[in-house]
Amino acid sequence: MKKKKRIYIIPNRYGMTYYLGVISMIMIGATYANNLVFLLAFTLFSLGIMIMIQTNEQLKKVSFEKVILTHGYANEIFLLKVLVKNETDNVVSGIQARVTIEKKNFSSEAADIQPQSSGYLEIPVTWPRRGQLNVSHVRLFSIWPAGFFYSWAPTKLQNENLFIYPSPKGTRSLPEPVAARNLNSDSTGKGGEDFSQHKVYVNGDNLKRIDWKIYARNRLLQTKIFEDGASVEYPLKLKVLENENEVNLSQLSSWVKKLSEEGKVFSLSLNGAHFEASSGSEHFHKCMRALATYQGKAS
Amino acid sequence: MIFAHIDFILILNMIFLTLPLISEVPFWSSSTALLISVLALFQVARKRNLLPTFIIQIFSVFFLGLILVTFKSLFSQEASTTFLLLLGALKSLELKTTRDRLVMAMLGYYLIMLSLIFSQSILLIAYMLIGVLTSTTLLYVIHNPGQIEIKTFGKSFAGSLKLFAYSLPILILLFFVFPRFTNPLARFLPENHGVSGFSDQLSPGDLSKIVLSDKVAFRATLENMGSYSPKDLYWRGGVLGVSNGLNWERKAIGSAPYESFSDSSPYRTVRPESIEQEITLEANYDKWLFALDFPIKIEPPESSTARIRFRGAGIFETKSPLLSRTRYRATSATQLNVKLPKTETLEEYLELPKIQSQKIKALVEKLSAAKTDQEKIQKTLNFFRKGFRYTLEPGTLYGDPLETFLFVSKKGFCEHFAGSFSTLMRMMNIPSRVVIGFQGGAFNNYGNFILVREKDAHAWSEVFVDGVWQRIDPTEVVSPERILLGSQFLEEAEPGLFYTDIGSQILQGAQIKQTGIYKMFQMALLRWDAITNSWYSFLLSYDLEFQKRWLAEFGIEKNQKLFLFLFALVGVVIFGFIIAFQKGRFKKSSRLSKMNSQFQKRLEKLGFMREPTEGHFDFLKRVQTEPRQDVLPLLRQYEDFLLEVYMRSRN
Repeated sequence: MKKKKRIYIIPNRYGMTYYLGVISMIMIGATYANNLVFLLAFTLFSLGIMIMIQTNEQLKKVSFEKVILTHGYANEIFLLKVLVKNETDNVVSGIQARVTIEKKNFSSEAADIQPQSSGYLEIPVTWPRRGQLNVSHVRLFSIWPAGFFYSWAPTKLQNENLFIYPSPKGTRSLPEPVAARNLNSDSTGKGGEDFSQHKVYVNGDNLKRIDWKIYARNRLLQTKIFEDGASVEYPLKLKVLENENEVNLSQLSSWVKKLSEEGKVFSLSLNGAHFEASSGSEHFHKCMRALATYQGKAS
Repeated sequence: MIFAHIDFILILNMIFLTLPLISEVPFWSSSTALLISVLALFQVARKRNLLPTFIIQIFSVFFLGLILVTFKSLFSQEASTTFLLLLGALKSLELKTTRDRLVMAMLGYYLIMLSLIFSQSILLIAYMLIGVLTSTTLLYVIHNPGQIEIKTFGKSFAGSLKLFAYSLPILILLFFVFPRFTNPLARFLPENHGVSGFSDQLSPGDLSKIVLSDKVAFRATLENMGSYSPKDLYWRGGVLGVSNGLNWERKAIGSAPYESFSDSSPYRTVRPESIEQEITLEANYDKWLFALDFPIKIEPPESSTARIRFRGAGIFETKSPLLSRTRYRATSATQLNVKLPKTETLEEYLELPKIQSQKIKALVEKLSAAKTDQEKIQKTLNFFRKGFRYTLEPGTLYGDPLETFLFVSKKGFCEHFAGSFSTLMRMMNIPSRVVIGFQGGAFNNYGNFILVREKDAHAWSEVFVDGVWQRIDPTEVVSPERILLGSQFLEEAEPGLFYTDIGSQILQGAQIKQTGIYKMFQMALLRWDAITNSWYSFLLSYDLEFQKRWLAEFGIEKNQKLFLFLFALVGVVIFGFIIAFQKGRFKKSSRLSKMNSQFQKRLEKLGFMREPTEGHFDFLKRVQTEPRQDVLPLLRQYEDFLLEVYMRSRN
C-alpha cells in the first residue's frame, strides 16, 4: 500500500493581502453599517475559500512518479525532469515541481497535465561547481488559480545523485593520438569522418559502410574507408597538464566531450584511476563522473 | 484566433469599475483618472512606456498633496475614494510584473466597495456581481502574461462563475450568521465634511454640496407605525440657541440649566396625550438621544449604566458618548400641550449678532409690519415661498452668508432655511431657536420598525408664540415634497427605494396619470418595484436586531453570549463546509469506478447480486461461469471498456 499523500497549504503574501483586504472590508461594513459592503466582503471571503480548496484539489489529482536525473555541466543551464501522473478525467492545471539539491531549491514553470496521462515538468538548474550532488526532496506545488495559496505535496528521495561535470573549457589542443591496440575496430563501424578511398567488399566488413551508389551504378560492392578512424586513440592524462587542478579538469572535460561527440576512442588517466580506451555513451559518462568527483592533486 | 493583451483587459476592467464613482468625486479627479487610464491603454497598444517611473512617482505625490489640500484629510470617504481612483489610474501606467497586475485586480474589489458605500441602489447589486466576476476572471488569467487568446478569458470567466456558484452557500450563511458588530475604531475616523448627518452646529454657508449617507442612525418602534407619514415624524436631537446670522451653534456647556435627570419627567403635559417609543440608536460616538418631537421623558437604556441628563429645551443626553448600540424608551407629547418648566427662560432666545446688512434690516421692517406674531411668521414664510429653491448643491456663500442667501443665491437645504428663518424671527423680537435632528424615516415591514438614516438628518425652527414653543419648518414651505416624502425625495436616481406607504402612494399617484397600455406598463413596473424593494430593503436592513430576534428563539439573549455563539457558528459553518466539500468532491469516482458501479447495477437487474464479501472482479468471474446467454453482450461491452482504459493508460 502506498503511503497516503500529505498535502499542505498556506496563503502566500498575495493571499494574506487579499484576506487583509476582506477583513478591512468587514470593518468598513461595520463602520458604515452597510450590508452591501458586508455582502461583498463575504463574497470575497467565500471565493477565497473556494480558491483554497481548488488549489488543494489540483495537487490531490496528481502524483509524483520519479525524477529523471540527467547530468549537467558546471555553470550551464540543464533541465531536470520530474514525471507527474494525472489519473483523473480532468485536466490538472498549474502544477509546478521543485527539487532540493544540496539544500538549494529549483522550481519549474507551471504546466497543465492532461487527463489520464503523465507529463514532465522541466526544472532548469545551474550549479557553479563540479561534483556529486544529493537530490534530497521533490515537491509538487501549485498556486493555481489565483496565486493566493501555496499548496504542496512533498516527497523525500532516497540516494538520488546528480553529477555536475566540470565545465568543458580549455584552449589546449588535443594530445597526439596513438595507434589503437584494437585493430579490428575498423569493422565495428567506428572511425573518423573524413572519407579517403574505396576498397572491395569482403565478408565481415561493416554493411553500413558499403557505398550503395556505386552498387546501383555498376553492381560492385565497394566499402568506404575513412581516415583517422578507429585505428587511433587519444590518451587523456591529468598528469601531463600543468595548470591548476580545476582548469585541468575543465580541459579534460572539454576533450572528453569533443571526442565523444565525434565518436572517437579515448582513454582517461586520472591519478589513481584509469579508464581503458573506448567510446560510446557509457564510457563518456563514466569518465565524466570520474572528473566530476575527482578529489586528488594534479601532480 | 483573436488575442488580447492582459494589461488591456485589466485597464478596461478598472475603467468599468470606476464609472459609478465618477459623480462621487470632484470632476478634476475623475477626469484625470480616466485620462490616465486612456493613456495607459494607448501605452499597452504601443507596447512601450510613455512615462518614466519617476514622473509617475512625482504625479502620485502631487495628487496626494492636491487631495490633502482639497479635503484636508485623507481618511474621509470622498478623499480616500479620490486617492484610490488616481492611484489605480497611475498604477495602470506601470504594469510590469505579476505583482502589479495582482494589485490592479485586487484594487478592483476596493472600487466596488467604494461604490457600495456611496450608493446602495438595487442596480449596484448586479454591478457588484459583474465586477467581482470580471476581477476574479482576471486573477485567473493574470498568471499568463502578454498576449492571451480570447478563448482563455472565456474559460477563466466560466471558471470564476463556477467558483462563485460553489461559494454561494458559505456566502449566504455568512450573511445571516456573521455578527453585525459595531466597529470600535469608527469613532477615530474624522468627521465627514459635507456628508449628511447629525452635527451640533449649523454652517450651511461653508458647504457647497452635501452627500447623502445611507448609514443607519436609529430604529424606532411605536404604535401604529404604518399610519405615520414622514411629515409627522420629527425626531428631536439637539437645540442650537446661538445665532450667528445664517450659522447657528450650541450654547457653551454650563450656561444651560443642567439638572440631573431622575425617573420623573421635567415636563408636565397639559393633556395626557403622549406617544411611547422604543428606540435603538446606533453607536454615534456622541451624547444625543433622539425621540419624536416633543420628548418629555426618556428612560435609561435597559442594559447600559449610562446616565441620562436633561439639558432643557426637550433635549436629553447621555453623560458619556455612546460607543455601542443603545436601546431606550422615550415618551413624547404633541408640542402644544407641553408646559415650560420654570428653569427655562426666554431672554437668551432673543440674542442676536450685530446685523450690518441694510438689506436685511429693510426686509425685517417690511415683514414685521403686522399685528400679531402669527402674522409676522406667515409673512416671513411667504417670503420664502417665493423664489427660493431646495437643493443639495447650493454652492459656497461668500460675503455675509445670510445676505447672500436671502437675496442672491436663494437656494439651499434645510439648514439654510432653518438658520435664516430663526434669525429673522429674533430680529422681529420673537424668541426662536434651531432644532436639529431627523425627519421622516422608512417603515420596514420585516423588522416592524421605522428606519432612520443619516440622510434623514434635518433642521427646523421653533418659535415661542402664545405661551408655547411651536415648530415651524421653513423647508416645508420651499419644498413640501422634501418633508412629505422624507429623504426619499432627494434620490430621484433611485426610484422606488424605501418609500413609506404614504410616500409611495403619493409618488405613484403622481406618476400614473397616463392611460391604457402605458398605465398597465407603469403598474407592472411598480409591482415589480414593490417586490424587489421588499427583499432588497430586507437585505439592506438585516442586522443585529434581526439576529437577536431569531437567536432569542433559541434562548440566547445576552450580548456576549450572542457574539460568541454567532462567531462559533461562522467557524463551524466554514470548517464543516470545507470538510464536506473535500469528502464529497475529491472522492469523486474516476471513470473506471463509475463504470464498475453502473455495470454492477445492470447485472443486478439481470438477477446477479454481489455478495457483501465479494470483490468486484470475483463477482465478475462468478457471473462469467453462470450459463446464461443474456449477460454475454453486457460482459463483452464491459470488456471493450476495460480494453480502452488499458490502452489509454499505456499511452
